[in-house]
Formats: sequence, C-alpha cells, structure tokens
Amino acid sequence: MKKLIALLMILFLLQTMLTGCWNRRELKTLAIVEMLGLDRTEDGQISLTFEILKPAEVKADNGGGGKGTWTLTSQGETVFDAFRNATLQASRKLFISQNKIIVIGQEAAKAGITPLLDFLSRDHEPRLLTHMFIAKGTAKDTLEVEHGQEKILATALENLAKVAAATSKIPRIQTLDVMKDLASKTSDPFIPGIDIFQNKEGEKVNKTIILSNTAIFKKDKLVGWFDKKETRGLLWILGEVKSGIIVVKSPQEETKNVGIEIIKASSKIKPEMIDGNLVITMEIKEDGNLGEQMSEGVDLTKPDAFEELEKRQAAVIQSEINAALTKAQDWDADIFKFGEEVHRKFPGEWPELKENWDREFKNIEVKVEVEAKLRNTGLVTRPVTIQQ
Amino acid sequence: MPEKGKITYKQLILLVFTSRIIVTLTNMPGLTDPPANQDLWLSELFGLPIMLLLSVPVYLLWMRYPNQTIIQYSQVIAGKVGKLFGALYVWFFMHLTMITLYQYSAFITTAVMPETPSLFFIITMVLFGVYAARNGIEVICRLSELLTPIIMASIIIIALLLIKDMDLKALTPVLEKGVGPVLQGGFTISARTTEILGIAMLLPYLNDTQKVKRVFLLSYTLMLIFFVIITIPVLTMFGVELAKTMAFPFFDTVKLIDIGDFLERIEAVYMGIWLLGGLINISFSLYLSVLGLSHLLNLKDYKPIVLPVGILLIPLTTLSFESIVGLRKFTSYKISTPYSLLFILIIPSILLVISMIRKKGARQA
Repeated sequence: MKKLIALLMILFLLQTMLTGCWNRRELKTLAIVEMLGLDRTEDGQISLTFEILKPAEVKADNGGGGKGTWTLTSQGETVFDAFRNATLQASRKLFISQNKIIVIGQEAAKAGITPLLDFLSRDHEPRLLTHMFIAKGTAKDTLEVEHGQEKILATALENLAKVAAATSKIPRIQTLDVMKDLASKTSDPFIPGIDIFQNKEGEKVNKTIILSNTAIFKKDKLVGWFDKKETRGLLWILGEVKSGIIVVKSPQEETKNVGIEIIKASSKIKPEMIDGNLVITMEIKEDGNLGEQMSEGVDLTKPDAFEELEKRQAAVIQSEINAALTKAQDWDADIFKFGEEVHRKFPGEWPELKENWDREFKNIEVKVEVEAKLRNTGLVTRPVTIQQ
Repeated sequence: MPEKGKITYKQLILLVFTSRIIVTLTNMPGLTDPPANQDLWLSELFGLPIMLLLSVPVYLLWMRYPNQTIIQYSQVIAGKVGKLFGALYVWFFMHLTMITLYQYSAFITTAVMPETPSLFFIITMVLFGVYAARNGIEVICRLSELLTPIIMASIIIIALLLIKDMDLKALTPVLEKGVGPVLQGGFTISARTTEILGIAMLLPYLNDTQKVKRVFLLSYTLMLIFFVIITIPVLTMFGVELAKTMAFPFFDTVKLIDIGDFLERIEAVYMGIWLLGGLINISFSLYLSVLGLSHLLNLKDYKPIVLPVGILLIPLTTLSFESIVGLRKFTSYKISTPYSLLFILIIPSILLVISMIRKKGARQA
C-alpha cells in the first residue's frame, strides 16, 4: 500500500515536470529567416530586412508557384530592438538559426560594422559560418531582387559565394573571418560587394544580383572598394587564389589575347628587419595552363613562345599585387595580415611595432617575387588556321 | 565509517578526469589567465609538474593517515582548529557545487535554451546529484567509468573533424612572452584543479593502496592531454584574440564543424557529452560535501543528509551569485587562484607540519 501511494505520488509529480519543453517550436509557428540585411536609416536607426521562407512555396513538385520567400523590413534603436520589432509585422516568431547570408548596406558599413555584428555573435541562434556581403546600395533593395535560378535569393547567394572562387575575383568571407580580423589588433577585414544589375528589355526592367568588387575596411569602417584586379591581387598575397583566368597579350600578335587558366597558386610572406625598417618579401608561385588563344596566326606551344607567356603571366600577377598593395597602404588597411606575420617573426619587437602599426604599415617596403609556370596546353596544340 | 564502498584506481582516475575536464569544456577560463596568448596549450603541459607539486602535502598526509579523509585527520591532528579546517573544507566543497551549478545553468540557458528558467536546470541537476550521491561512491565511480570513454572519444572526434580548418599558424610565435608567464599560466591552471582535494577525500576508499602514485600521475596526465586537445582547436579556429571574447569557446568551436555541407550542426554531440560530464561533476562535488559533513559531525551514515544538503544548495546557488558577471569575477584567476590554493596547498601544509611536530600518524614518512 505504501509503495502504491509512493508510486502514485511520483506519477503525480512527473505530471508537473513533463508538460513539454519550454523551447518547443513547430515549423508552422516559425518564420525561418534565410537572409538578413542591415541598414542604417538617416536618423541613425537600424533597419533590418529579412528574407523569410514560405515552406509551402518551395516544395519541389510545386511547378509554377510563386516566390519561395517574402521580405519584411523593421526598424529599431538597436539591432536586437529592430529584430524584435519585426514581430509586429510577421505572424510568426523569427528564427534566425538557418540564416545563410548577411548583407550590410554601404552607408551602414561606412559607419562601422562592429555594433551591427555584436548581437549576431551574442545571440545563440545565428552562426559564425554565415556568408557576408556589402551591398553597393542598401541591403533592403538587394534583398528584394529575384533570382532567375533559385526560388530563394539566399540559396543563390550562398552558391554564388562558393562558385565565385572559380574567378578568384571575389573573396569568400564568412562572419568568422570578419570577427577574427576585428578581434586582431592589426588586421583589417574585407568583404565581397554585391550590386544590382539592371537589364532593360523595352519597358520591363530585369533586376539581377551580381557580385562585384570588394569592400575594404579600416578597423570596422568601410574605406573603399577594390575592383576585380585589385581583389585578385589581395587574394594572391593571401594565397587564396584557387582558380581563375589570366588574360595576357599574345607574344607575336600584340592585339590578340591569350587566356591562361590558373591551376594552383601559393604565397609566402617573409618579414625582415633591415636597418630598423620593415621589409616584406613575398614569394608567389603559380602554375597555369594555356586555356585559349584568340590569335589565329601564331603557334604558342613552342618553347620560346611559352617562356614569353610565362613572363607576361608573371607580369600580370605582379601588377595585380602592386595595385592591391598601393591602395591598401594608401588607405592604411592591413588586409594582408602583415601585422600577424611580423608578430610571428619578431615577437620581441612586436609590442613597440604594434603601438604604431598604422604608421609602420604605410611604410613597409614590399618586394614581390613571382614565379609563374605554364604546364599544359589543353586538347589541341596549335590553332587550326596554321598549316604545318 | 559512513561510506563503506571501495573503488578501483582506474575508476578514481576517470572520475577525477571527467570532473576537471568539464570546466574547460564549458568556460575555458585559462584563455584569459596569464599569459593570455597563444601559449595557453604550453601552460597546460607545464601544469603537470606543478599539479604534482601541489599534491605533495595531500599525498604525505595520506601516507600518515591512509584510512582517513582530509576532514577526519585534520581533527585528529589539530583538534578544535582541525574541526574548523574541516568545516572550511565542507564549505569549500559546497561552494564548489554551487559555482558549478550556477555555471552550468548559465551555460545551458544562454547557449541552448534561453527561454527555460535556470532554476529548472539547477533543480534537476541537484536531484540527479542527490540520487547519485545517495547511491554511494561506488555508483558514481562506475558511472564515470562507463561514460568517460564516451566523453573522451567524442572530444577526439570533434577535434579530428576540425583539423581541415585549423590554422596552425595561430599558435605562433611560441613562448612570446618568455617562459615566466607560461609557467604562471600552468600554475593558475593547476590551482583550478580542486579535484586534488577530491582525490584526498577518496584515497581511503581505494582498494589498492599501491596505486596511489599512479592515480595522481595518470589522472593529471590524462587531464592535461585532453586540455591540449580541447585548446588547440579553439586557438586555431578563432585565434586567441577572438577566443578571449567568447563565453563558451569550445561550444562555439564545435558549431564551426562543417564537412562537405552535410556534417554540420553537431552541437548535439557536444551537448550530450557536456551533460554527462556535468552531471558526474555535480554528483561528485555534492557527494564530497555530504561525505565531508558526515565526517565533520561524526555521523554513522551520510545518506540522510544528502537530500537536505541538496535542497539547501538550490536557494544558496541562486542567492550567492547575482549574475554571471559576479561569478566571472570570482572565478577569474586573481580571486580563484589564492582561494583554491588556500585549500589545496596551505591548509594541508599546515596540517602536515603540525602532524610532523607532534609526531602523529600511522606511518612516519
């Protein structure tokens, strides 16, 4: 009897414990955020734009179907405030754990991105592996563009971030990379840019998104943009060039172009101290294949022509690197992580160097050594127009 | 004796290991301790000799009183003052349980379930601890013998999954500020190992007294090896500067696992091992509190006081720390190091000296 009473009491107590989890969330009560846009309004408020998934619309068999997402803009004093204010418009609670992309508007980036990212690293839902972009205009306009291929713009951008590596003209940046650079005392972040490409067809204007240029930051403030050439220069230095096409002039027909495909590349950065001045020697090694030649009259697959191509290829790499270096030193933005390399090489002198790193970085003399090789010629040797 | 169980040296090693590793798994306090740079993993390796040195007084006392816990022999050695020391130790263990409870509930409510009241976690953890402690040391030890290999394997797997993204350059320059700060770091890490006292409490229940040295050596070595396995991913994935800003660095590191776009979001594995380890840790420190209290009050059995002590800990935990900020201040090395050194090193040394002067003890060391 006693045991029975005890058992009943336990069962009764369990009732109070097993009423379900506090954090239970059903799919139909959530508004799944796929992409987040951050802007600052003119009066200093934060404006957030969300791309929210409509699960019913993205089903695979839903042939014609409408857009798979809808967008929502909310404003507030802080990021969190604006985030909560979105609940005034959305019928469901915003769920940001699945967020794939963060887009920051140009004006907001100029004012500084650290305050915008604080909430995103403090809250438990967002992840550090989210891809980041800087919008040329406002983030809001960017989020409202439709993509031709994907029903969800965020999916399109996520895939773009991955495939754009094939050009090496756009870096692939996740929140983690930016946070690392912001935490570092010397390094400065860079984030790929995103623009709206307008295509007029009679009355109708087709808008598509296009990745273009790279936003360069000093500390957390946007200072300027790198074009494609400079961006690749930056990626050469960081050793992050994976693939891409180098266009050079054909050795014997200066008006015609030759396309060389980058197969692999690596970089080595060696800081040295010469007479109390910092000198950085960079060794860039690159392997390429002859990808195409637009000149019909010459056979480039001869040793001397090949050698000439290698030289020109190296010259192009050199000029890309120089373009990046000049601009970055001019803007005083250590996007190449030189500070960290110097820190590693000269830990003893570092405390002193660190204090004046801004000035030191401007005055670093950089020597670039490029070693470019050509390996293969593809499936053909000479153009069909040449008879032997 | 209130506790009649016997444990093997392997069980003790695994229990001590899990109990210690779980703090690093949660907060990794070593990141902000000196040297506070990329040499943290070296500090952890230097911890081994320092921890062994810190254990010397406890070991020598055990040689003299092989069948007694620290609370019992402090009364034998120093009488009324010894009683005071005993009371201090009971407080220390209870306080430790409170800190752990607060930290764990803070972690789980911040990082995983923000809408659940933290009191819920404190109560469930205490209830589990009470249940485990009532079953005695043998059960707690067997539990850790069962779970620790799972915890170890998971940590190794997590570290392996991160290898492709690690930036080993982040560990250089090695010995940036010289050996001094690194040694100091090792010292801080060792002082956080309050499990030294756990060993001192449990040595009398070891079934094979020949293996005592092995307990010290092996448990510390295991601990430090796993510290390094946990620290290196954190340092190499985030870099030390970013890692220092994080409240739960290893948790954030686990969140970064992403292999081929399909093996990702495996925090659940981490939460699993964290919960297992956390519960062992809570049971262990709660058990030490009640065992100590029963020795202090010369009770025949400790079981009746387990539930009251557990219940008492719930309001004490919520009242003694107003916020996580206050707790962090207390657990920062400036306060926690002298605090735990008092218990690990100073009181045992005093006891040892008194016992040597009075020539008490079973065996002359």
